[in-house]
This record gives sequence, C-alpha cells and structure tokens, in this order.
Amino acid sequence: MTPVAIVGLGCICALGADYQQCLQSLFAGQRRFGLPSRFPAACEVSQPVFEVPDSFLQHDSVPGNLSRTCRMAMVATWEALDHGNLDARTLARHRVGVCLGSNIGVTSGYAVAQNDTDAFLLPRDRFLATNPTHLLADTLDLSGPQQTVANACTAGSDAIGVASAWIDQGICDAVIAGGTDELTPRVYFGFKSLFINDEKPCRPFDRDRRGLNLGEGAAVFVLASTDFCQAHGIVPKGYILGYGSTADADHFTQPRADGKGLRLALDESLTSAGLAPDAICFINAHGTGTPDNDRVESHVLNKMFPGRPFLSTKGYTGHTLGAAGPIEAALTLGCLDRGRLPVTAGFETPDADLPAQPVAEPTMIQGTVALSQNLAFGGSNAVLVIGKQEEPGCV
Amino acid sequence: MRVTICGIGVVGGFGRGMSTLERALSGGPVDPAIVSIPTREGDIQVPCLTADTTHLADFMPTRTLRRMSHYIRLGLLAAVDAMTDAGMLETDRRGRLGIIVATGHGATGNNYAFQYPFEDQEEICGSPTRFSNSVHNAAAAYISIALKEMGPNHSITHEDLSFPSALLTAVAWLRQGRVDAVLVGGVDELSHAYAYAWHVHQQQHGQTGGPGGGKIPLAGEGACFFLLKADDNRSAAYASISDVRVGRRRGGPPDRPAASCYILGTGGVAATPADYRPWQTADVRWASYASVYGDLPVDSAFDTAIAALSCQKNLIFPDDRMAAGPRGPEPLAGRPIACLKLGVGHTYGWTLLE
Amino acid sequence: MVVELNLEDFTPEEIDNDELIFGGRFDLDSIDALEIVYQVEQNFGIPMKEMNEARAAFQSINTLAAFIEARLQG
Repeated sequence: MTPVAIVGLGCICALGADYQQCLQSLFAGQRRFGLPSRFPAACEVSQPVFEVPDSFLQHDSVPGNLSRTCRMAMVATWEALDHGNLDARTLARHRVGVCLGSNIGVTSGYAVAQNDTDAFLLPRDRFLATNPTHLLADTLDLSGPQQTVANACTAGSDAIGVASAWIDQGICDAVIAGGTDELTPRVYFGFKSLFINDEKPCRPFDRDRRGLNLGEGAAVFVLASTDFCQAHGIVPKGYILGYGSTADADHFTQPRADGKGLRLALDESLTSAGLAPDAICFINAHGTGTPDNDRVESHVLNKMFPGRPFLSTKGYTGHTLGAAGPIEAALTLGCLDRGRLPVTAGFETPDADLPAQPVAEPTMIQGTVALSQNLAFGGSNAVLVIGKQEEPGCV
Repeated sequence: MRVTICGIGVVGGFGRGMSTLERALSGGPVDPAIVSIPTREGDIQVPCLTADTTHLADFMPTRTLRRMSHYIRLGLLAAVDAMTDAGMLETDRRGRLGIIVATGHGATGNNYAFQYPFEDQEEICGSPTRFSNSVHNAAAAYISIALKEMGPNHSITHEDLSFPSALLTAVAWLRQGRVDAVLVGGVDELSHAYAYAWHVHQQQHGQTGGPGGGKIPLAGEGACFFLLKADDNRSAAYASISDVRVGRRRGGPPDRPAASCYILGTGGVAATPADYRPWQTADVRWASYASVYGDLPVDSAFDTAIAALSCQKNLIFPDDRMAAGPRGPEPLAGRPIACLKLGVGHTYGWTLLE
Repeated sequence: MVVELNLEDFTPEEIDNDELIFGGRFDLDSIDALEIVYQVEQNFGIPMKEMNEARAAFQSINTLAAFIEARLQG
C-alpha cells in the first residue's frame, strides 16, 4: 500500500476537548470517569463510564441541536482542518470523500422520536439530521464518495482502512476519515446483559480485571495522497503506512481463543506496509479490560512481538466503540511524536496467566512506527500501522 | 483490471434465486403480501413485497438458525446462494475472500415502531440476544461464521447509496490485491416507514408518480449478493464491472457514464422524475424494474443483478411498468448497462456493466 | 425457555425437569446462558452479578426452579 499522509487530525474524548489536551491529560495520568449522567431517570446505573463533558462541545461552527455523535465528529473535523492548516475551500476543489466509523451514528436516526412530521419522509429526514458522514460532506460541500462503516469496535479503524484504499487507488485525493460514537443506554445495558461491563474503573491486562467501561468521543483525520500534499506544500503530521483487517469467523461476542484472527490482521498490516515485526516500536492494544480480550492479545503480542512494549489507553478513555480505532491511532501518533509511552492506567497486578504485561511505568521509546489494534463484537480485527515519516525506521 | 461477477444470490418479494428473478422479469407473477403496519391512528394493511427465508434450512440446522433475526437470515441466504452460484462454497476453492455487507437500515430496519420512541424502557434494557441481533454488523458476522471465512469483513451504510459505496470499496480491494475475491451485497428488511409512505402516496396521488411516469413500487425487502473476482476469464462470468462512481452532486453537469448505454434506475417513492432528467440524454435508453423487488434502500443491488443477467442473456427485459421503457425483450446488442442511483443528500452512484 | 431461546424443535413437555440444560441435547451456548440470566431477572426480579452464581443454578429445570424459589423467599 502506498503511504497515506495524515494532513491533520482532531480528537475529543474524556481526556480532552482537543488533541493537545488529550495528550497532556494522557501523560499526566488523568482518568475522568463517573456514573452516566445523561440517562433517563428510570435507568439504574452502577457501572462507570468515560463521558465527554458538555463544555467540550461548545463550538461556534457546530450547531447545538445535532446529536452528540454528530457534534463530536464536527468538532474533531474542524480541529483536523485547523491542525492541517487546510481550509474547506481547498478541499471542495478536489475529489474528497468522507468515511467514518460509527455505530450510534447509524442508529440514532431511529432513536429519536420525531414529532408529527409526515412519516413519508421519516427515514430519509432522520438520516439527513443524524448521520455524521452526511453532515460532514454536506457542511464541507464535498463531491467524493461517502460511507459509514458500522463494524462495532473496529468501525473507525476500518473506516481509516477504507479511506486509505480509496486514496491508494486514486478514487479520492483526500478523505475525511475517522470515527465517532456517543454513550447510549441501549449499548450500556446491552453490554451489561452480556456481562461485559466492569463495576469498577477498568483494569486492562490486570489479574483482577472484570470487564470494560464504555466511553464516548470522536477522532477525525484528514488523509491525503502524497501528491496532494506536494501540490499544496503540506508537510504531513504522520502516515498510515499499512492496514490489516480480518474476521474471527468463530463466535459472535467472544474473540477467538487461539487469536488467529488477530495474528492474521497483524501479518496483513505489516505486509501492506512492507515492514518486518522488528520495525514496530510499540503496540497500542485494544486492551478493554475484559478477561477474554486481554488474554488473547497478551498471547498474540507475546508470540509476534516478544519483548516489545505495549499498552492500553482505554483506562483513560473508556471503550469508545466506533471512535476507538481513530482515537487510539491519534494517541499512538502522539506517543511516537513525544518518544514516550504513558502507563497503562488501571493495570496494577500482573496476571500470572498472561505471558506479556503492558507498560506500567512511563517508558521512553525510540523509533518511528507503531501499531494500533482493535477487536470487535462480531469478530472483526483491525490493525493500523502508523508512522511519523514516510520511510520508517526503528532505532 | 477487469472485475467480473462470478456468482449472484438473490432473495426478494419475487422469490429466491436468479431463475426466479428472470421469470419475474419476463412477466411472471410478483405477489405482494398484506402487512399490518402500526400507526398512531391504528393498524393499516399495506401490500408489500416480503421475502421468505425458509430455504436457509436446506443449508444449516434449525438450531444454528434459531437465534438469527430476519435481517440476518436474508443476508445469509443470499450470501450462501452467491457462493454456491460461483462454485466457491468450499473453503479450499476461494483464496482470500473479503465480505462487505451494505445495508440502508441495518438490523433495526424494522425493529422499531417508526412513530414511537425507540429508546423506551423495553428497548433500553434489552435481552442479550435482542441486543446482539440489533447491531448493524450482525449479518456480516454470521456470514463469516457460516462460511468460515477470516478475510476482511465490513458492514457499511449510507442510506440509499449503501450498495454502490460498498461496491467502490470491493473493487478497490480487488485492484489492491488485498483479496482474491469479494462477496459484496445489500440487505434490507421491510421498512414500515417505506410501507406507510407508499400508503400515503397512493392515497394522495393514486399509483402514478413513479420513475418515468410509471407506477410507484411497493415497499420491499431482500438481499442480493455478488461474488466478484479480478479475472479476465469472461466465460465464467455474468458480466464485468468496468466502472463504479459514487459521489455527491453539487450542481453542474452530472458525472455521467459513457454514452450509448442502457440505464436502470429507480428512486422508489422519494426520488422525483425531475432528479433524473439531467441524466436522460438522447443516447440512453431507460428501464426500471422496481416493481419486481420493491422500494428499499439497497434497491440498486437488485438493479445490478438484473443488469448482470441482461449481459449474460444479451437482452433487455420488458419494462411495461414504465411509460417509456422497452415493451418487449430487446437485444442488448453489446451496449453497456449503467445502474444509476440518485440518493438522499444529493448523492449519486452508478455502476457500469458489460 | 423454549420461546426465548427459540428452541423450535422442542415443546416444554419434551424437556425433562432433571435433564441437563447445558452440555446435553439442546446445543446451547454462552449467549443462551446470558439470555436465561436475563429472563430470570426480568420475570422473577432476581439479578445476578456474576456468571459463576448462574452456573450452579442452571444445571436443570429443577435446580433453576430451586434457585429462584430460594431467592424469592430469602
């Protein structure tokens, strides 16, 4: 795959209202969790979540009457354009697509009871009012293809993967790619009925881990071809060097015990980037804190990248579903830029059954390439290869 | 690089399978079912083109199927049929297979009463089975499990441009060499809102007002899957896909396919004939088969199957449902066929087959 | 159980009260186990915090009934 340039990016989650704030809070070890504050009063809640405060969503160019999922996506997009010093008019002159990963964004249209409007228009009206991909394309007046990937927890990474394919194949000059998902009662209680949530703040890879905490957020990347960057004198902030995507084809809610799906996705990501495992400086794991997920990842990472540092950032963000891949990719790039990793928040006691443990101390890293991986409900595995520069190397 | 359609699986209001589709296109019966649609004013009875999935039991035991919702079953049936049609159901005959499922409304397409709050108490505290079945990627996940296929597996949506968008990615994957073949299709359950829309339109305007002045199609449901390969071996294929374009219209001349083709297109109830006028130049012939499969977001998948069949049989099926369409079967005479969809939010997509 | 787990091949009369619910002829899996937990909670108001609690109770219809009765009384 030809390297795809990251022109700019935006990020919003419990860690911060923008990318720099997220990185600052990450390295300061801040965990902002609590009980859900926005659910209907009748709902009994006991499991903590990582919410985005309303104050993070105040933005002149983002209408307040949109869904939270849409607002977060728009805030992150405006930040991405600003970060990349790119204005909407430049984008509108090129063939630019939009590809987001979202689960709430594709069902929230049906979650809102409209008042007595003509049902004739209802599905289309709802789509127009609540679909974040459409809203971005419409607001920025873009002419390229649009698509929302609804692959549960890998939706956002897969969206970045699809966007990279569109650029690689010359279908688009650039793509607004990323993910967004807000916290909803339906998912919270759905996960609860599957015994996936932890009653306490999550403990990725910890011996006493019991489950995940949900979160919410959005991260959006402006991805572009290197030609586009050259034509506009853009120095990319980083690169998507490779992408791997597989299915477990095994069980609907639990990952494959043998980790084969994840292994194949890791292999594919490295092959597509033309890199050997040695080139990878660290791995940002999915690390939700569920017993099964963390066990599988520890075994696979130990096998494929013995001794390489890995971490989970979900102790800082919660599991942000469709936004997880892009948020974690953004944090991964931030770690590469700073040359260091924060501790894995929530990890205290190593699990003797796991062959590899995540970083428990702030760790210096050297090198320019890292992986960010996610595993999904339904069995998808997605791996992004993220680089600081076009020609990767690892010291 | 040529992308060829090597297998097609299809289920809809006309029945199941390409022979059944061909019979329906040649004037065979397409019988609607009467569906009870709950509304605030009470239940109304609306004719709809519903699809039956009982034949899934031919492939897998009822115990495996028992948890699957109608949405999942529709997708699974058409997906398995497409693989069988392409002779690739066995895992050792496949190479690396990608799976992309496009859906307009997903698993929640019909599982909400469109006029009532979705997030009422019952839905919020749903059962694990109901929750699992409600996620958009349910169909794609079960297809990968049933086929034991570990290649890339995506569920994508963009309302009525879902299928053309999925096709764009499928073709990109084949050209990248990421996979050896792609199983790509559209699935949509009957939408009560679409059925209600038909009912309201019919009450206000009678049955006219469809594309080209024909009848408006009934609300439909179904699934339509294609097995695609990057392959120069035309003899095994229905047709080749020579181009896929998807985008957003911003005024100015439309991004039209090459001249002198047939265009198959429909807008269901919502798209107006006026939307299509810029595309109806003198060198194109127009046909619409929406009355065979109905109005659903992934209707363009059915158009693509019909176009593929036309290429294979070298004829254009009669379209007496449309005022200006072909009256009897006509020879295709080597013309390419473009399947056009004009969608919500000024989107458009067309696929060129030959 | 027959209705919620969609056991189309069986009627309630055909299920013996001492028959194993899991590991027997019904081919149930972990999602079915969670579904039973959910149904017990919804129909009898008995929540379960951990799946370990459920495992012992779910051996058969009789053990499940005993579990529910004990919780309702206690």
